[in-house]
Amino acid sequence: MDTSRIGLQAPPLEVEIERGRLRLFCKAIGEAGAIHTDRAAARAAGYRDIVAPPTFAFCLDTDRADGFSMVRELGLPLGRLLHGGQSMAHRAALCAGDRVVLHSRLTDVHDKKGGALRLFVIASQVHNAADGRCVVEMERTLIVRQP
Amino acid sequence: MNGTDMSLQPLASQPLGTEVARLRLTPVSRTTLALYAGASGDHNPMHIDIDFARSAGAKDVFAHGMLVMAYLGRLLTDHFGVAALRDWNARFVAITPVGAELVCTAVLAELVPGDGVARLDLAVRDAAGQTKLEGSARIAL
Repeated sequence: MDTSRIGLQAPPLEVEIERGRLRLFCKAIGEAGAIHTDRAAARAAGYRDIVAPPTFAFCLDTDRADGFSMVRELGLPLGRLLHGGQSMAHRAALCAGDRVVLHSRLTDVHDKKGGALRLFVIASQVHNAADGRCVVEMERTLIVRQP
Repeated sequence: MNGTDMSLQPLASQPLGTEVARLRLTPVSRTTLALYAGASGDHNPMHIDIDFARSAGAKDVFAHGMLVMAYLGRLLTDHFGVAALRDWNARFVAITPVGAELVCTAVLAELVPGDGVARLDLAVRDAAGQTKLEGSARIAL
């Protein structure tokens, strides 16, 4: 098994969280809560603007419109790719208008089930672009069924 | 808002093993998968293009794992508030097909007053009771 790519880092990606994209995301997941959809309600609750649902942070990577950076970089085959697991830790809310920087790194590659499955573990951090504070940490495990 | 069970009981006053939140979703539709693909930016055709899915050996398209996790996120943040969600994790146990009727549940597993959190066991199951996702969350008390 080739583990030489462990440590691979995606180029940092700066993203401005757009209100329209957040609204569409809320529609797609059926999130109708006022702080997620109504700017006035979000401000009344003490937020800068409408608040991102927690899993929105996972989608920051696709802001560049050519898919998930590590999937592309590693050339993972979409027809044999499964999402095995995901963890998320939230230090502060993400809101429309926020500018953030996403950092991602391949931290592990290993096989399971006698080599039938190859697992790729990718750790990501989201930092506030203004002050550098880490606001979200994530880890995803991708599984590729081996031919 | 389909079916969030809003309990007003604080977590710390409930016995371990209590189901503290439940969310029943409408059946997963192809429209939902198309909307989620566009909104999330995850354009993997396995979720939206039946021809591609069949060419890869699947019978049909299936839901994005992160759509199912997003439903769990709704359960947690609508019930306990965005600020209360410290960290959580999910294992995607089985594929969620079109038409699945999902139910998300959170069960009180542990109180850790020293850390100011409650740990919840999370699950998403279909109408037949098959587990699609399981995980846990730490919620601020």
